[in-house]
Amino acid sequence: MRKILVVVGLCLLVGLVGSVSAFAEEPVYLGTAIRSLANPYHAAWAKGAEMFAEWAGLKDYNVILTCEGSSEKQLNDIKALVARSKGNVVFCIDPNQSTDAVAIANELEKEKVYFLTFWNKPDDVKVSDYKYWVCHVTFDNRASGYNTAKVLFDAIGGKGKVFALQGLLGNSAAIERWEGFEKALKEYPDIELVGWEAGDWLKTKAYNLVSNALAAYPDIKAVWCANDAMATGAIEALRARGLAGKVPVSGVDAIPEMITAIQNGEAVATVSSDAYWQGGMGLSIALAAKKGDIKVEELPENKREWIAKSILITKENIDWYVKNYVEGTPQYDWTNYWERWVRGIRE
Amino acid sequence: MSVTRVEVRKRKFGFLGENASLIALVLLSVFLSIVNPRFFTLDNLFNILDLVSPLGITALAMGFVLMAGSIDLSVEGVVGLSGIVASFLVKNFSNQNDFGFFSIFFCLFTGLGFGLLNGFLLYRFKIPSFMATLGVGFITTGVGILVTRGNPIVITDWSFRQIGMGKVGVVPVAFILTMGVFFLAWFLSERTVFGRYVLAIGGDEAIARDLGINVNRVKIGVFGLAGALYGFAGAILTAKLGSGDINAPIGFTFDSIGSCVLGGIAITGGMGNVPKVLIGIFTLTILRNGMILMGISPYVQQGVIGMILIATVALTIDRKKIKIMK
Repeated sequence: MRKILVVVGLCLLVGLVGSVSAFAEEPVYLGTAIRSLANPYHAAWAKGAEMFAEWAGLKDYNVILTCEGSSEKQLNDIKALVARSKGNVVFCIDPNQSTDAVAIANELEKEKVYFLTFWNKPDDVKVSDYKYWVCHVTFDNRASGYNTAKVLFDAIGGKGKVFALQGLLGNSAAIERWEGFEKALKEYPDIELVGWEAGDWLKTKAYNLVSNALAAYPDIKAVWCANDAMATGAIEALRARGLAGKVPVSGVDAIPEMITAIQNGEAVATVSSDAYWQGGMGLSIALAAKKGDIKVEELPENKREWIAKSILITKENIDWYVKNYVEGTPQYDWTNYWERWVRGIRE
Repeated sequence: MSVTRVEVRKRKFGFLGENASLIALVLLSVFLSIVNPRFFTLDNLFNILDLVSPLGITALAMGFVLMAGSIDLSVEGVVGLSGIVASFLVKNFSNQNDFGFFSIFFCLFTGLGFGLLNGFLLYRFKIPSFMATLGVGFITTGVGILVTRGNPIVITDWSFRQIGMGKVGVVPVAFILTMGVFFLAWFLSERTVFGRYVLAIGGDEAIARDLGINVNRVKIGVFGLAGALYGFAGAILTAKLGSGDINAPIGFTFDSIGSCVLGGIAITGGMGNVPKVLIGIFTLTILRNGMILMGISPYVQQGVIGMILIATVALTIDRKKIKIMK
């Protein structure tokens, strides 16, 4: 009996001390700095941040900062939140422009605030030169080009004439996606690339180019596009000739129009970077660094700047995607930090 | 007005000079037919007819503005915004509207409104057409982004879509509509006093004023007409692409001005007619089509168009008439 009382007493004591210490700890603010809430991509990003905040019990400390395209506003908003939280904050940031990442990093480094960035950063700036810049994460354009091309080629049985639309020539995303496409092309010897044009990421341009290409090569079996806006233009050009659904098309970005096209069987593949995951995981990793669950100084270089896996959407998983990402929101394990790690940026 | 300056010019140019653009178009077509037999097929012909609209309508509008001696850089914004107006009014994924073909009127009025604004800024505040229309172009683009939040508005009204993608037999409906607009414009330009006033003002505004022409009223009329045509083009574009999107008409300004220049309309004003715009838009469309048929590298295509444009201006402008090059 005494033993049991001692055990119960000890438990109560531990619990009490635990809760007191928990009360003593100031909650951490979660800052998300993105462009705006007006586009579906960043709206999903903010939703992801909210989902993480709820999971972490920091719902009331979750702050979304939108810069509406102004680099200066972004930096000022970040500074203001640092001041408001007395430095007790972590950030997940989509820098407005590459060069902004440096100004933001210098500011947060000074304030000893842990943060993570997505997409934009000057290539020659090393994250490992900073103590509080936990990670810079981006997505693999080459893999997007390669994977969508493979699905497209398989959809026509691995042989036949293919036409392709690049993005704006000279744009880095356009170049990288094209490299991925060319890699896939080499693996399919029976696929013949009859021609390619630069659609400048635009729907109308893609419509005109694909119309002309179909006049030049009426036996085109498939059309690869470097983004979804051009892919939807290609589909309309095919529709004008009664070929929509017969000649498969692929794109990248997962815009709503393209998701519908995949459901209708007019397109076969697109790629999503999963903005929910970006919004939640960015905060989760930064918070883990602050709490010491991730030891920043022990992370290898290739985990400071890395490429994350994106989601390839095809007719195989379109129902799952629509159910989880369009109609509902997916479930994430926010402590599985490296689940989508593919490779270091410099590898 | 027994003999206008235009008629004087016509006499000076002679048959070859007057029809240079048509001859060039015919030669281009013959050349392409020889290089790639696929050029001269019915399939490609109807492809070209499909691509001529709705760009032909904006080129026509630009033709009137250029003939009056001004320029209009609001094309992309006004076409884009009108297209968005159409997409919000027909059946779509974003709201419950279902106005069907009636929404074309709203597009026309949207375009007309901004066109009149262009003309008003020009005449009331004496802002050069270059700046006034550029500003209106930015405003309309901004409004378009604001109301759509940058997303395309997908339409689901298949009967409305027929004006952009339907066919009568094998002829695209959009092409028939475009030709209808060209015929009305031709009538306006050749058979009414308005057409003559436009050329007179473009030729020499001071003389036109001395002759008692109400220059401001004609200019506002020209910009209003151009705006209404952009509105119509926007409706067709939305029907053709299946969505209202502010990015959809990007490139239309260059292509409209380029078509007019290729057709032989002087950007210095006072010279040109409606058939020339038609020749120009066909030339530009066939050039683009031909470069793909010939397999010319996409890296040089835009450069080729630029060179041809400069060469055309060099060959067609009657430089003796122009004392100062601005």
